[in-house]
Amino acid sequence: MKKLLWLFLALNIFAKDVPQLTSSVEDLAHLFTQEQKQKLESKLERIEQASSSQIAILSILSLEDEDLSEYAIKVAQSWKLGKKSMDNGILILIVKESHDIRIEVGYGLEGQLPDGLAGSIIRNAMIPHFKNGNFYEGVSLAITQIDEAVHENPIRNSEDTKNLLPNKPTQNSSAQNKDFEPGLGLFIILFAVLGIISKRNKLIGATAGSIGFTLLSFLFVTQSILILLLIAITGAILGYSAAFLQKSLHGSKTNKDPFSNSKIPKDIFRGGGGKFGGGGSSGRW
Amino acid sequence: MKKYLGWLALGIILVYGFTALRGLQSHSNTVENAWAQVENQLQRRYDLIPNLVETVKGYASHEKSLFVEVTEARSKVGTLKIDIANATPEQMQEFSQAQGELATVLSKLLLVRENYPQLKANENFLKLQDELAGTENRIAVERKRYNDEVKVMNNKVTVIPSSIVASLFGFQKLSYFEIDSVAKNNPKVSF
Repeated sequence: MKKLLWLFLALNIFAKDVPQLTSSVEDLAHLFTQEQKQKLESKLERIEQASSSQIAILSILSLEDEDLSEYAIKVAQSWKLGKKSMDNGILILIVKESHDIRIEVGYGLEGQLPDGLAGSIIRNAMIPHFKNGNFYEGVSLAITQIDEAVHENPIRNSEDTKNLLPNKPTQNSSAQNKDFEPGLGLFIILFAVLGIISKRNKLIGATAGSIGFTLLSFLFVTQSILILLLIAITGAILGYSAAFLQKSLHGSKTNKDPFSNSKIPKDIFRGGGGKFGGGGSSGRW
Repeated sequence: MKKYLGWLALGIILVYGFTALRGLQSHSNTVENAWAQVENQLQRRYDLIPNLVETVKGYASHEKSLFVEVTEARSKVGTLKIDIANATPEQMQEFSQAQGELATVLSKLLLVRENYPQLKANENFLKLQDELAGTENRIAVERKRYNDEVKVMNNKVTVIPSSIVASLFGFQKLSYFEIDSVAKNNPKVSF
């Protein structure tokens, strides 16, 4: 019976969905005005540029029977805030109806921002302002204090510091590129090589494809013999037709590539692959 | 032709056996790793207790029986070590029960604050309380990760055909780390 319950928990059948991450300030409960939201976003962006730490704010109306800390870590894990190698992400979750606050701290920042400090930021920076309905002031102050705790050179609040900061490009795009699974590059190289081979001789291409894909899959993806057999067959077909496939891929690339920059606005906010382990603190205003 | 088929079958079986064994070994490392994370967080809670007790003692010195209870639960946890690769379900049961009792008695310790307004306002106490709540939360997170890995591992050990390889090489089912719901309730912080 307990295991059945576990299965339900694992599948999250009754659980509240994680909202999609498009901005560092996901204000679903409308706590901020448009102008305040933009100010917070640019503040968070400056912090990210200066230190690569990613802080995001999520406000929701209600938890819908979910546990505050369980929901917070679910969001943090699926948004993957922070850089992959540094795990330097922080999520500030605000629940409007139940007056709950949680600061979820990524693995990499648990040392600089221990739970006690996170709790004291909630108690001393957020709660007093929140009680007066000043959500923007509370959150802005909390961000400043987090920044001071976490970074050696925290940004200052005044606007002119913006120009003093080195104009580094956003870390986001490069972090995304580093997110490759190990071996993915090898698969791509293999496919490219197969294209050259199968241009000359399709049968040799098929043999090389079958062996190559099976070997790489065995090393990086799966050890299941059934799947490997299927991959061997697929690899043969791929190797046989690699030259043709590449030709058609190349032709359609301009309109079909989902990652082409033209479709996605460049200022979209994305997590960099950071991990969370439940650190942080909760409070209530 | 038939002779070749026999060799081919043997080859496939050998390759399968090798890959299955490799999978079992690497996953059992994953499980042990996940367990090490659970133990880290349990240790963290264990280490937090003396500080917390001292702070509470400063304001509520006559709650003696409670302090004794905490100390006893803590030392019981301290003596119970578990070797996760070879733990029997009974050992696991005993282990998680002791951890659960410690969590319960700690939440009782935190409840003392309701009777001592000065304690409730003490920043040091509040920070320790946050640390404890955070640690309980981390334990819950790592525990879930461990249990998820155990589920995968146990599937490999019990489901045919990898179970044949598992029994040949002595892999056994692992125990879940479960804490009864009473103890799981984190101390709630209210303001």
